[in-house]
Amino acid sequence: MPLGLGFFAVAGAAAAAGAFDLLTTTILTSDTSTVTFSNINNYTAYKHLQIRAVIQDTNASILKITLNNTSAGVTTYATHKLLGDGTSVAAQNSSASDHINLTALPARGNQAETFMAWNIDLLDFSNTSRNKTLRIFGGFAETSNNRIGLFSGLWASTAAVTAITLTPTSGSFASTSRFSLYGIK
Amino acid sequence: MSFVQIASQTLASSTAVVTFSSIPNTYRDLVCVVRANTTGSATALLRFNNSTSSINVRRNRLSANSSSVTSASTDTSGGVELTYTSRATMPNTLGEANFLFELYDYATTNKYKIVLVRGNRSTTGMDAMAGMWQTTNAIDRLDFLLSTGSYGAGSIFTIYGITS
Repeated sequence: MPLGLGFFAVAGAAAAAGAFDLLTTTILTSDTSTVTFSNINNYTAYKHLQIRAVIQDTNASILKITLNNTSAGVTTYATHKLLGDGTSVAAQNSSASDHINLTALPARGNQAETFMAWNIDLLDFSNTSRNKTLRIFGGFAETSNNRIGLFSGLWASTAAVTAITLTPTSGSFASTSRFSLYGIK
Repeated sequence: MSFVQIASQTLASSTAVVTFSSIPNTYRDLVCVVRANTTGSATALLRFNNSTSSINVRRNRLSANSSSVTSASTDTSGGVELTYTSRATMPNTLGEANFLFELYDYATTNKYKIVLVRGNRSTTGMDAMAGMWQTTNAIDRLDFLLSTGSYGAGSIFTIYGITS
């Protein structure tokens, strides 16, 4: 028999105050080639950062991440990934790269309302004695195109993170894509 | 404070369907944490807005057990499968299965609704899944159900809102 409570058994019970806080959100009003969170070093109250994003691309290109506006051609990034496309599984890596290399985004031309959800955790972002690591989970499920992925990213630098940049390898992030940055204490 | 508990239910007795209705539209994302046992082996499902219409729900999964990792996708109209049917049956020991669902932009009306799922089945494996309800309707109700049987007493279902 369905429980069918129809309303909340417990309403308004709050989690610990201020342990997970919204820092900023960007919802695109037009197609945009790059999204950057700057002045990250100002978030001194937090140990870790989480980006929650809902993204569509104009071109089905690959999402990539760089930190601190590093230049093209550097060799300080690495990525490992476990991918499922609804049929097969693949394990891949890239090393000595100039960006963290994720996976292909859904294209606006396939299903206009399909977006890919992302959780991107950047750990100990301000620590100056550790290289920077990211833990990433993303996926979408179109009628004829699927992606689910677990990723780890490395920036082999002990510099405190001051900027996070997300870019599609070609095309642009489609209008209404959303990028939210949270701080975790 | 951006992570707020909206509601929680701990089942006092076996229950076939656990419902959260009248979910406020004031959050950006929802997070659902489930620790459940069942009265028998079953596949867990998440249904949106109590819809069993022809609106397509697609699920793409990545699952691992002790010896292999596989990926598969399905289309249904009854809800997002939260476990892989032929292997990821819900264990019937309290607390052995836990799932965390994240439902993005659930109140918007310009995107299909997408949920990311991470499931842990301590005796049989783990899953990572993406589910998509292919409609732009805002979501104000979630139903947790099973392919057969009921969730057992003591199962816990909690939903949180994330502001934006």
